[in-house]
Amino acid sequence: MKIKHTRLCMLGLTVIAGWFASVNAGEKSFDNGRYYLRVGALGASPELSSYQHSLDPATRCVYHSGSEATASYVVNLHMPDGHKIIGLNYDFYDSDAAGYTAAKIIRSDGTIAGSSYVVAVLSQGSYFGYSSEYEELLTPHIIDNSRYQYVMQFYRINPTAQDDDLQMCQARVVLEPGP
Amino acid sequence: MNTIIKQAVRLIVMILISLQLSAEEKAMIDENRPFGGTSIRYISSSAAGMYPTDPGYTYQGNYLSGCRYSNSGLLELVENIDIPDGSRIISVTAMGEDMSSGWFGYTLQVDGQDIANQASSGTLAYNLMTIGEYIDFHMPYFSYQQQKVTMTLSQLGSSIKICGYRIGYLPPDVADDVIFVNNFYR
Repeated sequence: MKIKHTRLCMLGLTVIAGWFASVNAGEKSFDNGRYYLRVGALGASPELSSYQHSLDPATRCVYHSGSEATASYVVNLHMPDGHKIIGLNYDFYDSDAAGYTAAKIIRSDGTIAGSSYVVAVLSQGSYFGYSSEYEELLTPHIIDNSRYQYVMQFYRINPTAQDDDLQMCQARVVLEPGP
Repeated sequence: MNTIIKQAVRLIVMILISLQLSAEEKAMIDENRPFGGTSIRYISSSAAGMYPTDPGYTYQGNYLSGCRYSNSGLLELVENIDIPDGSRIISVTAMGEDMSSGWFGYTLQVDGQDIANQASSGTLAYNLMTIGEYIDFHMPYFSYQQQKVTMTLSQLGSSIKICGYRIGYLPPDVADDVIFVNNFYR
């Protein structure tokens, strides 16, 4: 009888251990239930056709080389309905103390009044090199493509910086699948 | 005893019927727009993120509203779209402002063939307006060749803005099971 109980216990433990192993394996492959959408600034479209911008061939990062104080470059984001935006990671090069660049997700219904920032990550200035920043939303944003368009805006401000002191490299949207 | 059995059988049948209805309801297109519980998926794009087909175009935009316009009165923006093979494209909508005798319009193409196109044609709407239509286009399974889906937004005339577009589609797993009606949110 004791042997039977021991065998049953062993079997139970094996099943439970197997279940945990399978769950952990799934989480690892999906990074704890999250996944990422990477958006390169290289593919962004300038807000004005007159904007001059250049590519750093070594890093594949983009910098604004025109005379404007501010400039923005936009990429459309196509994300699944019902999924959640959890956060935004921004990779950049910043060697200017005063200026900065930013990656921002904008949700728009086609009007200025109906548009807002979902999340914005700034390069913060004077990193003197390549770095990245991450911002997590306090409340995850549920994607609704039926009412809104979503874009990634790469933004740069500073009239005095050298062109290539402020480079926009890549943004990574952190997402969770919906129900 | 027989009465109890009959009532029990009737109850079971009613439960089965209600379950069946629930399954059908899930398969029907929901008139309401929210996500979840509906089979429709949407792809939305802002004009601010689209590319001009001709580098010679000049344009201005507003990244917040997503709208773009050309002072020269001529602009064409294009974008390639990923829609899964086997889907059904069911609606096309373009957003813009039309404050002159000119127009803004859209052309949706699959493999170079027009699937849908329309223009605002001098509507004189002083706020954001939409143009669009319901369609029923099956995306074939062509895994061996490129099946390019392209959306083009155009402007002709001054005082016109192009703001973006929205495409409604049914993903392949439900594309053949859904009852097609035209009274859903476009």
